[in-house]
Amino acid sequence: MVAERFELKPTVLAHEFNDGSGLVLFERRSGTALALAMPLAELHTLLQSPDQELWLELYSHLADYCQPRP
Amino acid sequence: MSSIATLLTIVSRVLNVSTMPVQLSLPPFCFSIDTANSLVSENLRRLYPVEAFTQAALVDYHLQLLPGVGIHRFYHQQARFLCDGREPFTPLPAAHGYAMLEWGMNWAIASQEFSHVIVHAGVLAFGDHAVMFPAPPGSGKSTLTLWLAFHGWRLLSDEMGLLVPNSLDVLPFVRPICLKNRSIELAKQWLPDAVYSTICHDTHKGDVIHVSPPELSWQHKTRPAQLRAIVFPKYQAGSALQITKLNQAQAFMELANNAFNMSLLGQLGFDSALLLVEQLPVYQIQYADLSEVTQFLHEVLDAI
Repeated sequence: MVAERFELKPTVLAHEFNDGSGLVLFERRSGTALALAMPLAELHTLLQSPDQELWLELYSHLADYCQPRP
Repeated sequence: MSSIATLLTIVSRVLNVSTMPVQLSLPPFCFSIDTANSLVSENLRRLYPVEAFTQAALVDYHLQLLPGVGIHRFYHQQARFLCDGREPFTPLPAAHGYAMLEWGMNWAIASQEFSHVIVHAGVLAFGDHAVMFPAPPGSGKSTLTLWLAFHGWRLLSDEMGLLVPNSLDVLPFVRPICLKNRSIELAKQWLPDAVYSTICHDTHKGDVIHVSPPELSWQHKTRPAQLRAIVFPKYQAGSALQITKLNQAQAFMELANNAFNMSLLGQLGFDSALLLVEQLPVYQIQYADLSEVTQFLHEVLDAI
């Protein structure tokens, strides 16, 4: 699970879709959700990339929802 | 009717106060409706089947449609909606009373019902295979719902899909279909023999009318169906039918955007939405011709 790479807030739910279309994060209290509609292979590559710019780009999407592990 | 009852009725009409609430059984809910607004009472009797009026069921929601207070009891008469003693809306003109009651019933369920996942959607079934049509206002959802309900499909809901959590099951909540503005004229052309409410003119949504669904839908008002597909409709005048299959992440987001209580249900709502988008085909369609949409829906059901 991609979500296992993150220390999620207790109120955040995460799921990786089985068609590989992306990851969804759902913040229970406000009901807001963020779906990254990108192929999971691409997302995995992004997460493993040492490229700081790519990482920061992704992190900017996720920052409100979770804390990345080093 | 006894002379006392007759006298009470006359007095209630003069004073615009109610004498006895009616109970309306609309599975899975039962409403008590207390009003002396004769237009509201007439529309209720016209649009709902006789069997829906009962005194036997336990009441889930006590609704009142009361006259305005002070000068508005007599001048520029108003209607006030109360649910279980709370007044969630500002008063409307008395002539909008019936639409206000229907909207108030929607509000009561959407804001207080937590045993189902509720989606702002039309739901129709062919046999027991259902398709859900979630859409924001102005998408043509109710017009599509009306068309299908009068062309062999069974109406489960025009306004809110009641989904059994963590399943594909959807419950009926059969009520009149709400049409607005240009759809009213279209409906009366297509279905001159259908049963219509009086038109509420110049509401905040424009002109509004309610249409009683066909007998088939009322007969099966307690019969669940199983979802086979989700279709997000968008009417576009002059458009050929355009079909886009959504991936699961897109489908989840669209579904969440149209859900009334998903966030309140927390993990249960989240998991229920995931199950739907991972097990069902989900499409966005843009259309102008309803017969093209009908053919597409049959192809979707046949392919499953």
